[in-house]
Amino acid sequence: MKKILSFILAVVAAISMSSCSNTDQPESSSQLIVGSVSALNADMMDGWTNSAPNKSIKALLNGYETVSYTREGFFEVNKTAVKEFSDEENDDGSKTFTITLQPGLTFSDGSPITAKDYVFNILLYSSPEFGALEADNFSGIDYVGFEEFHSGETRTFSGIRLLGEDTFSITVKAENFPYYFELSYAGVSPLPTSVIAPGVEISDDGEGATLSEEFTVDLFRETILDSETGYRYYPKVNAGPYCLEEYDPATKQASLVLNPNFLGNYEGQKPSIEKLIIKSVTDATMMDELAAASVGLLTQVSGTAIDRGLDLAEEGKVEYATYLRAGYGRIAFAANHGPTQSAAVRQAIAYCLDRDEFARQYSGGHARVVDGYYGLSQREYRENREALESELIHYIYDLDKARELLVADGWTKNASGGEFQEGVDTLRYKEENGQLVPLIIKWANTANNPVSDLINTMLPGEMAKVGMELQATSMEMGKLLSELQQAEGQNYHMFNLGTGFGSISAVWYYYNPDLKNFGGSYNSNFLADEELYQLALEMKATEPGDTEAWDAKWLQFQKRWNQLLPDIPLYSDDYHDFFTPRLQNYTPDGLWTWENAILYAELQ
Amino acid sequence: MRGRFGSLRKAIFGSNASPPLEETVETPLRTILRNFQRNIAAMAGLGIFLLILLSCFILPVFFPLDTSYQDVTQQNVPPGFNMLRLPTEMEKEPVQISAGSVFSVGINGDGKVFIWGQASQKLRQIPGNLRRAVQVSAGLDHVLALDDTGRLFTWGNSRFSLGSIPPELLGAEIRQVLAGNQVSLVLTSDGRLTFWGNENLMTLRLQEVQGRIQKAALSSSACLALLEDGTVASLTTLETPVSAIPESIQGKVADIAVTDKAAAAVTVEGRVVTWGSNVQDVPEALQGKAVSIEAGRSHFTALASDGTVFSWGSNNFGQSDVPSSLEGEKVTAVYAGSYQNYAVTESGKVKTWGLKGYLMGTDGYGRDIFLRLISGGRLTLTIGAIAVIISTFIGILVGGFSGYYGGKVDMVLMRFSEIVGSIPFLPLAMILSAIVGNRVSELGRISMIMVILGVLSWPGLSRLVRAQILAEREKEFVTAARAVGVREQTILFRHIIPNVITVIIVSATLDFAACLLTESSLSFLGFGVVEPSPTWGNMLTGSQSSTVIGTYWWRWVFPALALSLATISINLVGDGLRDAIDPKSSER
Amino acid sequence: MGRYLARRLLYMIFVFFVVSILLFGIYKLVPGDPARLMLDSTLATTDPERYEAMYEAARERLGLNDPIPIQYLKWIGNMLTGNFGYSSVYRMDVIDMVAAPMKNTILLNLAALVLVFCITIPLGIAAAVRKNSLFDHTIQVGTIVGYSLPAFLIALVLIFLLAVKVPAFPISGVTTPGFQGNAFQKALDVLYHMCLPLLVLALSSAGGLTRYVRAAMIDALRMDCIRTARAKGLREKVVIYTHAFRNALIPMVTILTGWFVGVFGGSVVIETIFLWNGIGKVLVDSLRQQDFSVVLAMQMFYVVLTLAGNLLMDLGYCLADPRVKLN
Repeated sequence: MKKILSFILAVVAAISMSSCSNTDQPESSSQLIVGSVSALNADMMDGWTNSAPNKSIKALLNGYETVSYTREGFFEVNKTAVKEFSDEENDDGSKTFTITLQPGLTFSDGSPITAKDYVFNILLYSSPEFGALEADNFSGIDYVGFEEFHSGETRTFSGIRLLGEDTFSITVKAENFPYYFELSYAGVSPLPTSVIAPGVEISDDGEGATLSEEFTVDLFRETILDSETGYRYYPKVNAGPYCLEEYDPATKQASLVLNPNFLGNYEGQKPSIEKLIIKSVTDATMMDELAAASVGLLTQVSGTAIDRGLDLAEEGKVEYATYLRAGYGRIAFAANHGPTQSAAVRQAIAYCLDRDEFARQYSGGHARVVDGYYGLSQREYRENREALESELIHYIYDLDKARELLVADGWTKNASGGEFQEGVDTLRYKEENGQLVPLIIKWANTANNPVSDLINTMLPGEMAKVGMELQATSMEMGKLLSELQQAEGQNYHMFNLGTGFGSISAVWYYYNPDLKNFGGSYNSNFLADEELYQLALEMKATEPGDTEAWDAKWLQFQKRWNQLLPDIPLYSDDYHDFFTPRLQNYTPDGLWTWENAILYAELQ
Repeated sequence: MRGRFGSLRKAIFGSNASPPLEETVETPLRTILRNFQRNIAAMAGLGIFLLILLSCFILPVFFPLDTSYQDVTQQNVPPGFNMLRLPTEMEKEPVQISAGSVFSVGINGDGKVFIWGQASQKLRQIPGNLRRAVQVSAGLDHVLALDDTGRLFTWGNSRFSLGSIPPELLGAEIRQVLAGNQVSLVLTSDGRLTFWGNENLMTLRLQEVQGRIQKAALSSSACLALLEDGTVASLTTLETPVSAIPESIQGKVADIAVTDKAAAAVTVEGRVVTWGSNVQDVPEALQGKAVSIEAGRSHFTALASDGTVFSWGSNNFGQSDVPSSLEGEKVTAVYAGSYQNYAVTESGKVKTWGLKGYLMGTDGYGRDIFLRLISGGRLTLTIGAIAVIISTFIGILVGGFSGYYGGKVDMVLMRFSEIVGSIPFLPLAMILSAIVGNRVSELGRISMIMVILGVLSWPGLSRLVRAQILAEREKEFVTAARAVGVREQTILFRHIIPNVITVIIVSATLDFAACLLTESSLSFLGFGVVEPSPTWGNMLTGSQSSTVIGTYWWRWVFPALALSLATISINLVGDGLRDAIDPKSSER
Repeated sequence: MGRYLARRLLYMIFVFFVVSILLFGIYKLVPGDPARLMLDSTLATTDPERYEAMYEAARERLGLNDPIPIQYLKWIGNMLTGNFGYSSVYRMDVIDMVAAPMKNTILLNLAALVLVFCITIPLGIAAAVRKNSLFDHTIQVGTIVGYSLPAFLIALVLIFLLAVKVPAFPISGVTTPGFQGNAFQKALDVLYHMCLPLLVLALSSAGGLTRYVRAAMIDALRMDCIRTARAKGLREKVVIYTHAFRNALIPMVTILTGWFVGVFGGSVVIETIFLWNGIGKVLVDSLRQQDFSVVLAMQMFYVVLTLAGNLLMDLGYCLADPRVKLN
């Protein structure tokens, strides 16, 4: 027995010693390990899955996009890639963007980038052949001629023109205009045609870009889907600041190395960190990994984990950058059925929740209560903060107000149809079409989530005090989303989840009162309010570049939203990125995430 | 010896046969009891298990758990009862006391600053150059102090720029310092307020009142100012429950205090007026003679002109129970904050009441772990028992029949157990949760999940029993019994099962332990009992971070201890029972 | 024996089909819409038409528009012809997707199996032989601690002690990121990362197993044959290790076969905390994301393993104890 034990101990000791000596060596001077809480997978090409770390990797692999989203929150033509850019309105209301490339752009292998490689991107991602690879092939849906091309009717995409070695044009359908963010339609990045589709020719005889016969599914099964060499898993040639060196499915780690031929992002910025490794971490131990230097950068840390990071920062072990979140945590209501159809009930629930205490409890002070459809990092919020604070209703914990709202809304009956009596009856009812409707709110949440836990602690008791009942059900995120979108019927009235804003916040979709077509994935509140929708449409139709007009309409939209209260906005975080002190000049922001900021950073 | 021959004898003569003469007159049950009682380890196990059982089923009656309770200021408080324990030096000539969240600071007659209660390392580092303090204020996790030269000090939490005193305060003459929930307030003698700290939690609008402020009052969500003309103003930019100040008191206010959701003002006539949400009636005896008022997180304490003290508001920690020992004493000053009260009597003694501390500390939401532990144990033990009883019962039945009859019965039953064994537990649990939804209570849902676990987890035991019986039934005594024509059932249940009881008891005790753990694994995966109802499993899942493991040890050590004590003791009982039932085992 | 085997195999096929119908039915009952989960909702929100088209395409692709019996027949047909399905979340063949995590899981579990058996069998025998001694009680109570605590807690405490306080082992992962070295060094690196998960596995399972071995041994030591062996004057070691141990084998065989299936099973808890990319986590994640092709394929794989294991177990009984007759 003793022998076995001592043998095991000896082996363990030997392993730990030999490995300790090994671990010191690979931490080369210019290698940064980025930790990611969500898991990495093998997809390195657009069209299939899109987990957060893979999104970041893809952003680092792609470059020379024609339109960039800037740190300041605007769309802008990328001067590094585009020499000339013009737009022209056609007679039928459609709009044509003509783009001429800068000379000297090359892929990572040194081969030149031509207009063909940009056109190929749109064609590939719209083609039926790409769809046959189980991939999404709708990227050109806003361009003229998409339907014919996408269905396979023709191999010519009439809205896309290849006008020469360095020039191409994109014609966008008339129905999309006017549009404040119209420039986003002209955004496209190059794909290496000769690698993904060797032998395929793209020609243009004046009717649009046309693919040659070599463009086939069989070809792509080899060049894209091959598990060893396919572009989906191993893009060897790319245009972005970094190249994929390796992805190891056994360890779920990816390593990226500098692209020597990269000329810079829209500001001409080139990265200097030689190697980036992306690996998974868990919430439970990620700060320890950072302290032990087995991870060099952790992004978007929120909640109470921040304090542990700040402790490490005080010990000098890590540095941090803080910025506001482009999104917010919320309680979402279904506004098309049950008691939550009424804005008064939604407001009454908001008055039952002590949101200020909630945010303090959830975040340890690293989040702020918001009152509208915005995140703290949004430019609109930062520039209109005072107006928002004075004009929006700040729903505070106030049971009397909640009671008043319910009474005014007709929730004055008890179970037997008599008058609801404070202290005697426990649940309010309302008479609708001769029937008594109980004030029961069914709430779908996800388990093991501090937000659900806190709401479940803080809300049901208070709601009971004013005659409401909250029935909670825990479920998987997938199930919750499908309930939110009412894919399986109208079962729940209330949900809690987080929302992130992208570079475009398309409120004209999210609050479109055409519930038949928009309810669910877009209008997840199923809120059909004409006034709100008109305000959103006005926002959309703002003249591009007229920031002032946009902001004014945005504010009107927020005011209406705040009264309707389709969501109870809970908090928007102060995100913290923690990193090794060797990392310098790293300044991320809410929408300017780490993959953008890392281009400006250096390792000491 | 007796065991083996006993079985055989019973097998031959049937169980109704009269006992042989040489046997002592003792029923088998008594034998078992006697054997069990002799086993010290088993008795100790039984004792511990009963103790746990009783604590979990009786104590919650006396210490009920309010599941809707949470308190951000009481997060992660270590075990201990020192929150009201003043340092002895502090007892003489106390000048001022300020109660923070879970600690208090005070100044004694020498101007020396003391800190007591659950103060962190950072809080205990009182600046060395702070010589003679004249005013202190304790916040959530930081302290502000003023010395006799007018210098301002701050220590404790330095985040949210709390640690950097605004430059405009250098050289200013300071009237009042206030430390709040991650915010600091300083009032200068020209009536101007300076505010700094975590702007996520509070922002103030000060332009209209600057220069006229007499006194400020601060709580975690509200900030009020008493102006020189005796009016009260709410200073926060966002609305708070106390923003609506009653018109009737404006111009006549002498003192103000604010709790988290309510405010109180003492008028020049000595009356107390309260407003806000959840306000409670002011004691009638106080009206007309109130002098000053202080507020904790949810209670008020006021001093009357005759030296008596009144506390009212919520009383969850006894913070509104003025101790009877204060009767007849003349109180010169009271200090209240958080859940603590300090009254200084004329004789210079300090009387305290309110929250002393927590037996097992608090968790990340500021809830008392002891309360959650005893309430959680009841759930954990119940649902563990459900599953193990069901699975053991089915397992013995199926395994027994299968092993004994063999042949077709065995084939069918074993195929059945294979099918059941292949049904995965998690998807079934998911379906169930979704279908049952919110139609049953949380306890009902989790019980159903455990029933499913029990119904699905017997095949392992049944195979074990069957295997044992396969070996057992070929043994000589069974052959003998069969030869004399004893009924099959009797052979099976009277003679074979007792011989495989060892395996069953070991298996059942292990299974009970396993079910207690299954509950925690379910919590880990998000299928267990959800917050705020506590179980040992979800308490442990809630401690799932290295910060908790390393720093807030009390959050996992106590539930882990309870879980292992329960498991170990039930196993000891199982072992003891096995030895007692099976007298052979004491032989060697 | 041959006839018995043939009949067993026949039954196995029957059970396999019953279970496959049951499992398929169960997964179809799980509420939720896998097609929706397949799509990137942020992408969809900017463009409703495109999203709707993609959603319909996804439903078609997953065959969700067919009636359930047809879906079953299609699925089982594919299964039997070696097409284990297509992961709706990862959008690749299930086989390609599970290969790497399966390798990791088997590696870890085999190591754990060997370690645990090396510890528990000698420990259990020693405890049984010295029954009721101080040594026995220490072992009894000591091993309970291991299984009376949830594995995640043991894992976190060990991480805290052995990776954070005393940084002897890595906190998580399968290899050191960016590790360069020859094959041997790489193997050592993996072994090094395996130490803590192994320790947790051993601690949490050794307790139960030791007790089983001990119980079986105690029963075996009481047998008449042992008495006879002792009476014959055989050396105690021979009595214990040849005579008694053989009789204690039956319960051990049962446990061992259970473990044999478990080797391919993986543990979500350990894999989650140590970020050990294994099959347990893949399975639970797939379940969460309603990626049922993966779950079903894996589950059927386990069914086959269990059935084979049970057969092996019965054959094992025969080998361990010739008195056991199967037919």
